[in-house]
Amino acid sequence: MKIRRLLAVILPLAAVALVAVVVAACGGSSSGTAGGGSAYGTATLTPKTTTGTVSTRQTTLGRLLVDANGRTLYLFEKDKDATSSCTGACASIWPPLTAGTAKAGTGVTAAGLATTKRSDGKKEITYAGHPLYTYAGDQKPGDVTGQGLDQFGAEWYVLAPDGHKIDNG
Amino acid sequence: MRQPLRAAAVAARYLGAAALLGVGIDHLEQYSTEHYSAIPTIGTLFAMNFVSATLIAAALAAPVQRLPGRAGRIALPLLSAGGIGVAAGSFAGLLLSESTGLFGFMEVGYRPAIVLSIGLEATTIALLSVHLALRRPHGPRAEHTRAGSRAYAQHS
Repeated sequence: MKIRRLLAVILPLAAVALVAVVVAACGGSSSGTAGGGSAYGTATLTPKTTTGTVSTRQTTLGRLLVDANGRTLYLFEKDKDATSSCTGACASIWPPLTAGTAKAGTGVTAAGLATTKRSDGKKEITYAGHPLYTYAGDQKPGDVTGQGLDQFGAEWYVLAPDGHKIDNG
Repeated sequence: MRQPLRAAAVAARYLGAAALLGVGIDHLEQYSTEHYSAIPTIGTLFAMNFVSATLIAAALAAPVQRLPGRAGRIALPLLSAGGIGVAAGSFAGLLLSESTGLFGFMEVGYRPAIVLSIGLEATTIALLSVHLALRRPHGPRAEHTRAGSRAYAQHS
């Protein structure tokens, strides 16, 4: 009787564990989303899709670069030679702005835009040689809560339209 | 046959508690070291995961079955169910954040900390479920019944 009860519990759990392993294995080869990032507002749980358009927006830190959804874009001071050094947990907290091509929006110079290949093979948009990221801590367009944070080995800054970091601190 | 099953139930209880504690520590590490603390809602959930997992794991390891009366009888089943709930909730939240997003947050990839978390959550659910399935009722009435059964077996 006990053994039957035990099997009744173990067999479904083994199936669940198998599904978990398969999900993890599949996710390891095809993880992430284009643009990644967090959605604004709480009306939906689904993050908005991100195109490769970079434009500018006026914020409390001045006019700075934002993505197609108005999310503030940041540079990572650890990045060298337009190559991203943000992977793993860093890429979850600071989702790279990934897209096939980069498009210049309002206030942005098209010549400053380019892409760099990430370690996972995706193309990340760069501006003035800086790979661009959003910040999961920003909740709505215009938020700049990632400004000046020292995370994952270096500091993060918003970018002015000329491609230089804005450092008011 | 009974004694090995009882030993398995006890082992499942303590190993399940250890796995649950591991789930909590994994979330604490992500909360503090990997800066999840700064992410609205998700950071709070990670902190709550650590606190709840630690409390339940500690209670599972404590001799709560010796509590007087009904509390002693229901403590272990409730704690086991709670531990399963914490682990299953963590697992569901992770899958959501990897696929559709959770509170606007998207995980990127299955790095080692995430794979470890999935493994510990599955282990917690499995072990505490085994414990629930195999455990014997505690308390004076159950002890009396078992003693009576043993006496009956010896004299028959």
